[in-house]
Parts: sequence; C-alpha cells; structure tokens
Amino acid sequence: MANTPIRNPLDAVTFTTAEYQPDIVLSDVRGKSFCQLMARRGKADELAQRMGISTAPGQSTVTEAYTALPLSPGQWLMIGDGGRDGEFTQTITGQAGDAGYASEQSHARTLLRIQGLLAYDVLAKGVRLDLDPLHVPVGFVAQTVAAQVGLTLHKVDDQPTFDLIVYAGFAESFWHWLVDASEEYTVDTTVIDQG
Amino acid sequence: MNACAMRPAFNRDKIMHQIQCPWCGVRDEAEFQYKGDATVVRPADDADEAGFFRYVYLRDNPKGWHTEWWHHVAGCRQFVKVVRNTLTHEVAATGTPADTLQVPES
Repeated sequence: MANTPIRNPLDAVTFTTAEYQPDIVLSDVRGKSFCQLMARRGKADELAQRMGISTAPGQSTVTEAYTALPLSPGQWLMIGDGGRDGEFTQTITGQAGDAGYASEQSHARTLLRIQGLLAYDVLAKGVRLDLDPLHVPVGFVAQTVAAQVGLTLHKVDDQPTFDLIVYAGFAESFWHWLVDASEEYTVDTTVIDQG
Repeated sequence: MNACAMRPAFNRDKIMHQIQCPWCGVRDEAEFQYKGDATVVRPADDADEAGFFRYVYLRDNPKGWHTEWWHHVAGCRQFVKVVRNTLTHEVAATGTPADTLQVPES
C-alpha cells in the first residue's frame, strides 16, 4: 500500500478561469491537515489553556501553527499545514497531553474556499444562517447544513473569505452545488496547494 | 366543526420553526432530529417488567406544552431540551440536558 498515489476528492473536477475580473473565486485548498481535538471529561478549560485556544462557541482561534474551530463544548477541529502524513495530529496529541486527545481527519475532510463580496449572496442560497457582516464577525465558526451536506463554516476575513470544510466523500457534490450557485456571477475556480 | 376551524390562529412569524441551541444559537429546525419525551425517567435496575415496559414503550400524547429532546445533529451534536407547544409549535424554553426548564401553564 505504500505506493498508493494520494488522490484528492476533487480530482474529477475541471477548474476554469473567468474571462473577466471574477466576482467570486472558488478554491479547493489542498495539503491541509485536520484533526478533531476532544477534551477528556472535565478538562475542557485545561486543554484550551494548554493549546492557547478559546472555549467560546462560534469563534475561531488562529495561531501560526494551527486554526482551531470550536465544534461543541470541549471539541475543536484543528487545521494545520502538512497534508495526510499524520504528523500534525501527532504534534497536537503531544501538546494536548492528558487533557485531551486528537483523532486524525486529514483524509476525511476537504477545505473549500469562497472569496469575493458576492460570497454572501452565493452562500445565502444554501446556508440557513444570517451571515450579514453586521451579525457575523471575522473568525465566526458554525456547523450547519447546505445543499444537504453538513459543513463547518469559518469566516476568515472581511473580503470576505469563507472556508467551508466538508466531509471528503461529499466534497465533489458540494463543489458542484457551489459552482452552480455562483454561476450567475463571474467565477474563477482554482486549486490552492499548501502541501 | 371541521379540522381547519379548530386550529389556533397561525402566527406568521413562527412559520419557520427555529430552536435556540444553547451552544450554537438560533438554528433552523431542519438541523435537529426529534428524540422524544425528555421527562421519562429510567426505573431502578431491580424494577419489575411492567416498570421497564412503561419506560421503553409508553408515552403521553399531550395537547399543549411538552418537554422533549431535540438532537442538534447537523450542528454541535448535543442534545437540547426543548419546551414546545404541540398545538402551536411555539417554543417556550430551551436548555442543556442538565437544565430544569419552566413549563408554562396552558
């Protein structure tokens, strides 16, 4: 199995560049590592302190080494660079010590990115949350559903940039929905390889 | 009297059924899964068969306020305790499983 080539969930997708300045840029961000970090019973605060992450719901913590997205009490999705070699999860496990444990998810999640002012309009077609910038600050995190696919949504900046983390098996289907929802605008689709 | 005439006045603001999750905030009902009566108490381990039969199978079917479990399956995956009116779908209170919620008098 050692020589099995690493494939990506969006290998079958054709990426296109718009003729004009695009309103929307959709990206498949590759080379990310994911792991789910869970606190041991009663140790959520200790774990958060040790990792330097916030326990507040709906707000991400971004450090140089990782981005932590709160999923539920004492549970975070940790995102780092490095791909699927498992190294990131090992580092997180080491840092968590006996306060928590991390499970490797790099093979199981895909990060898709939507950028551009019209991203609000595109996401409004599927996401049942009010993403109006008046209500939703940078760093906002929510787990919700769009196009029947469960997703973790993270507002990265005010451009706006939204990171949409979906299950790898649903990534292609979700991507097609995303492209379809953006079709009325000028859209670029790209691959960002951070591996 | 036909069934329609018996229905209570429909509040347009409440057409979309929304539930306040203690962790995620107000979310669409479609993100939740109904998990039944939250007032059922498991009998002691040495209880008789009739006690366990009641616990597993028998439920009230109240008209009005009902305390129930909703699983936030597409969000934080926590169980949410909800006091809901089975007649109007109005939600009076929500909380974590540990919370004791006030049931309004109907």
